[in-house]
Amino acid sequence: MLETLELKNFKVFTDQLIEFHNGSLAIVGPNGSGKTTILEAIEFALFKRITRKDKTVRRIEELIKHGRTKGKVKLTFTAPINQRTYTVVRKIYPGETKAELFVKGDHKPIESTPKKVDEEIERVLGMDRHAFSALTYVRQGEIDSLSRSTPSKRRSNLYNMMGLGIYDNTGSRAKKEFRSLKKELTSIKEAKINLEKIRTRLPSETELKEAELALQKIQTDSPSLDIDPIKILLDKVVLSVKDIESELNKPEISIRPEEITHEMKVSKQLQRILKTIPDIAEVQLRPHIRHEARSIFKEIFGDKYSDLVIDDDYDISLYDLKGNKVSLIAASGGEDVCVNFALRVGMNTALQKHSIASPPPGLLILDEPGAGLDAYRRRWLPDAVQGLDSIQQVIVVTHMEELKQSVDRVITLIPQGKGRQPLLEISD
Amino acid sequence: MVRIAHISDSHLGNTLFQLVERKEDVRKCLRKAVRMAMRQSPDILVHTGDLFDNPLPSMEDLNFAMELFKSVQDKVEVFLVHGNHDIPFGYHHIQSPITSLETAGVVKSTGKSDYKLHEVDIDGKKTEIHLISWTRERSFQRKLNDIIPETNPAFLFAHHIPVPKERLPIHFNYYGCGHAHSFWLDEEYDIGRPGSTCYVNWNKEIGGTKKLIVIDSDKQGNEYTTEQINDIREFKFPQAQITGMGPDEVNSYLKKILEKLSPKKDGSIIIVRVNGTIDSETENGLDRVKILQHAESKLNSLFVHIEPNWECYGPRDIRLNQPLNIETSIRDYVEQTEEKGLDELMDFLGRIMGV
Repeated sequence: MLETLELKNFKVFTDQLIEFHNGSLAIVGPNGSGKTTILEAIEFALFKRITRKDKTVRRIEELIKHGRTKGKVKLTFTAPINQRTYTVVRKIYPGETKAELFVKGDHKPIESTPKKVDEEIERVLGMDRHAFSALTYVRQGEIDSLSRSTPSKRRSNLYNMMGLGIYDNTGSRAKKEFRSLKKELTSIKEAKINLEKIRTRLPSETELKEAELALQKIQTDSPSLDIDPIKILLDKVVLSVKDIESELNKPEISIRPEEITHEMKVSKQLQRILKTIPDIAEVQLRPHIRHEARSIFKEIFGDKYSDLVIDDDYDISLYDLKGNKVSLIAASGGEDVCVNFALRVGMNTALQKHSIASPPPGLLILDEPGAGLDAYRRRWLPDAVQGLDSIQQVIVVTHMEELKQSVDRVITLIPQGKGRQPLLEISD
Repeated sequence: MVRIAHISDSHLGNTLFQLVERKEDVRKCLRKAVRMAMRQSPDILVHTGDLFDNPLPSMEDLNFAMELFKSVQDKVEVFLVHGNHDIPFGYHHIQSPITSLETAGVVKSTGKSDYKLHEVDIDGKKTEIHLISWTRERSFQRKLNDIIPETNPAFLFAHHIPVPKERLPIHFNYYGCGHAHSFWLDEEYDIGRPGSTCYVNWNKEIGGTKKLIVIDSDKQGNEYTTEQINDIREFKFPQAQITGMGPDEVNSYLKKILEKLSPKKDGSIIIVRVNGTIDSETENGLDRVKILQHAESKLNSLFVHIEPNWECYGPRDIRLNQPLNIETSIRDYVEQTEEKGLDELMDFLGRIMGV
């Protein structure tokens, strides 16, 4: 799916071209050499955002290499939806970004504003950035955290890893909106009550008319009397009665409350639906995840175990070749972690096949899959990575040397010190 | 130093789920609470209302209360206030069974009205006990503003205090109340509510505990000791989550949950709260009779209850085309459940997503 990535003054890189091919690729290097920067650049090129451990990088100029004034990322990729190849170019200036999207080979961009480019990329990928990260990205430590958690915890972890957390987020936004509507409603009601209170203290229209008539009568009866001050006073009263009436009839006070109550109802309905959908989605996806996880696990440990069964509570059990049930705790030769690797990666492949309308992106990014595991407990990992050949493009970011042998290509980053960009060693 | 033991809301005559066995349980719970209180050898024992579940209690309950308070009469001064359950509609305090107890001389209460001041002599020192029975809110407010104690310490007990704690006058050393059946003690404002002595309204009491409050009050302030009051009968409140299950799955799941419980005694009461979202096929397919019978025989329980707290999302199984896409998922859901107001939902969604 990805073809080339060109980085100019992007974090540690001054000028670097990275080529991607189908098959598996390992990006290897010591800590801080810029491995994760490459992943960030891909995310930035596609979605103009970088999420690092669920936190968004706020200031865009943090991405520019120190001492430079502008940066550039150029990514060429094939869209799964129409198999056409696009090039997206994003330039970063302090405080702003510019973006252009080309069909590969053309000189004229098809879109040239950041917003339009974002929309077009979402369209050709067939998913937004949440879905993209849920489908293609296995984050650092996720596999380890799955294998350490209890079944119920595992279930909620998976739930978040599936990207269904967006429903919770949207639900809480709906809740927030509901609260602000409620606040508005009470303040309007209070205002209305105040106005009505004032109105009760003022004379009614008929009373005013009667007063006016009485005044006229006094004037006709004894024209010599000076009634002007009373007249002025009466006029003022008439005016304030009118003011109050018109205030009360203003749409903000008379119609708005009904609108708000209606909107509050809609918000409640939305909150209810948003609460239900993740469960439906999870139930719908669960059989596919089981299926994928089982086939990944059997690929690796097929000579030792016959089956991997995940029940509804995400409690996992294994069956050995004689058909005996083996509990996960008893199988400790790294199988426990492998099961969770299978579950986690199976989730990605299942999501790619069953959660979007467009064809699967065919990309899987594993960020440090062996983190937190000792050498013995991760000895199956190279096999596992090798076994992922059903996915077109697998990118593994790691500092595990043993993974080098199991992938098609290796990019080794060698730091050069003094802020110079790392040297790339590419081996096929 | 004055030592007061405070209990509340015993609801004699209450029958949870109409179980006659509970009548005896409720009595035993009150006796237990009083015994626990007496073990602290207090100067004063206060029960803040709802002694009876009904203003027309059975003879058994009335006699029980009479005998219970008579048995401690020599060791402690007993004060009762009328709760809303103790008096008939219309605040007829004279018709309250507590008035009978007072007339018999075993307890002290508010007599025929809703307020009375009692003076007790503790270690040669006069102490005022102000009692306010269940009354109209306005009348309560007026009393609260009018009465000014002349001794220190002085205490106020009411069945219910419908005033925010910040607005209570400062001249009482302790405010005791009941009414809500959960335990609450605010040591800063010196206000306490022990909770009921037994399970009366489990739905509201499930989260809270029931405690005995013992107040030691002197010039330096109050010191509190609390003790858990457990219902004499064993109660269990398991929870079940049945989202997305089919009928057979739910039946076996609930049976499994119930089987896993291991009550220590026979005759327990078990209430399973079942949460989640299911479709109506599942709801109709629930075999409640079998589950309950199975559990009752397995656990030797007095009563097993399934509390339906689930939501039923309608008649159909919903198929989401793009589970990770909020907009299409809501569209799928609304279309397939035939719910109304899709356009408005979409507008609202657009607004909160800032599109």
